[in-house]
Amino acid sequence: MTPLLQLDTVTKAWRTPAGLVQAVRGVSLAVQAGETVALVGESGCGKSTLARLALRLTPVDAGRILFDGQDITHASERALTAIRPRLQMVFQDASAALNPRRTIGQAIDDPLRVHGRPNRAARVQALLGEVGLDASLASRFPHEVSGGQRQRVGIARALALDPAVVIADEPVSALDVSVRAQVINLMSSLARQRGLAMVFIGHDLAVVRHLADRIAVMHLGEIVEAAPRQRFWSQAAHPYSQALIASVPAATPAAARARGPAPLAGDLPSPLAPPPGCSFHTRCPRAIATCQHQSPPLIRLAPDHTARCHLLTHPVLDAAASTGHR
Amino acid sequence: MTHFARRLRRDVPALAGLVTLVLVGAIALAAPWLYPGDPQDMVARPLIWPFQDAALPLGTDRLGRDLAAGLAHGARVSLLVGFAAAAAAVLVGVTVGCLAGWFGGLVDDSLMRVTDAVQTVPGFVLALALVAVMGPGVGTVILAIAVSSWTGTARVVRAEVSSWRERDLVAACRVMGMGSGEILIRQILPNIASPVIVLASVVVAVAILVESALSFLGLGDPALVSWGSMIAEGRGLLRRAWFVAAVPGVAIIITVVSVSLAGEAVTAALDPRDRQ
Repeated sequence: MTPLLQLDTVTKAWRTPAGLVQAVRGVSLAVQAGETVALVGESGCGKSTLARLALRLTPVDAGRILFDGQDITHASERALTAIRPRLQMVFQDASAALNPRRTIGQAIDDPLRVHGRPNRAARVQALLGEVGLDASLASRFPHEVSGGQRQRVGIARALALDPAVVIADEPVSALDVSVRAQVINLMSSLARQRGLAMVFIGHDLAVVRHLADRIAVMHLGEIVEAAPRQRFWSQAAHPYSQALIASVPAATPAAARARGPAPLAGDLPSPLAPPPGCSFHTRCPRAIATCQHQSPPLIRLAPDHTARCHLLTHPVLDAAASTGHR
Repeated sequence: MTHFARRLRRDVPALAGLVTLVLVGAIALAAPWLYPGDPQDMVARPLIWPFQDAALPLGTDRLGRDLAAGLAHGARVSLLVGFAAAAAAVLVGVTVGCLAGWFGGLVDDSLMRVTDAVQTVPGFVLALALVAVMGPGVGTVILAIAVSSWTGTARVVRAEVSSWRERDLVAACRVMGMGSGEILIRQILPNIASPVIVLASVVVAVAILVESALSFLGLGDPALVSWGSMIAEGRGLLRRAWFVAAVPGVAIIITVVSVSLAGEAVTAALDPRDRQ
């Protein structure tokens, strides 16, 4: 089956006064119709850049972006008008993505108006209902409602054009912990009801735990591991994925003690000068000599499970390293 | 509109400015009916002091012309020049600023270098030179003031637009397929209206002053009475009859101050965040 949204070895570097920042380095990712893919990684790993590349908000340096089999890597803004309604985005901070001078009703109406959809007023009311907002909020301004309500407006606006794929860039990171669960549940039930494909970007595995069909882990501009949810939680192969899983808060103190200290030390290396070899070797508890100078290949552990790690092709060393570590 | 009225009731200076400006505007509009005939006609003996004669409340000048009539007719010129020049300057400034801020790169560089060049010439000197070359007249004065005062607006608008361009709001608009023109005009411009209106009120005030100064120097429209030319008339009489220069002078001060205050009132009225 052709994936709905496909990124093929996409690369992007930002030119900054300090030098070239390698934000996204040869990322490939395919999203099938109706599935939710979680893209997880620390701040600065290139997740948001990847979202902007996929939406063609930023030009790609190299690689291809395909939507429904059609190459849109260099499609003109005019050619994209046909694609845009089917590929939408939910932003991290709804107060930055909504116009402070326009009412909530106008914000949700904007995409309908731009694309000349009929029965706009009724659609706006229906969308407000769908995201659990009262119809009376249509005449309010974004600053007059709560953060959770604002993000619901952002979701309603993204859904207005009946998209096939929604890319959500950390949609709950700016929200109070108390309303995060509500917004996540809303997004997952909307995705299910509408048969939406969703790319859910986050830095917290706990948030995407129940939402994603598939999980992709990003580290310094690369996807280091991708696997279906169940397989990921039980058989994550990359040391970075294992470290992320280990850092998810445990439900009970006993469980936390049993797990031991978090294995990940240090910060993300500078994307201005990525370390040679495996980008993770500076922080990896099980790094071997090869990791320091040779970039690890993509290894297919199962038809739908890939990882980039030398340990997977050096199983003996892997065992020795891990016993030595423990 | 109700929240505007409520806000104004709390903000007395803004209310005073707005009321005064409306009053000056009304006098300017009604001048041909309030004081029919030519305000340059001699109507009484010269140099009657203000408040001496009920028919001539502000007195007469050296030639026996009614100062009140001159003031009312002069308001037409001052306000016309002030608002027309400001409108033209803001229109040019917003257009240049939007193009430079939105497109960036070469467009930005070339437009901003032109702006720099205009800005290095003192505004009044530029206006003076233009009027001297093109000859006096209301249209020339408006043009001269507009040409020298659009740069501030262009700079502010450019800075605001290039800052808004990077925000998620613009990304959201592009994701929904909105064109550049609509993003600029419908989404960004309303958000940068406040500084533009404040600047516009300053340009109106400066334009009124520049017009007065040009008229004072005899470079205004010789066929029309203006506050500046009235001050020029009174210049020689400062010792004997200071009121001849002071009456139009006070009118300029009051109008300029009320324009500034009214600008703030309008800004506040446009901000939805102020609705409480």
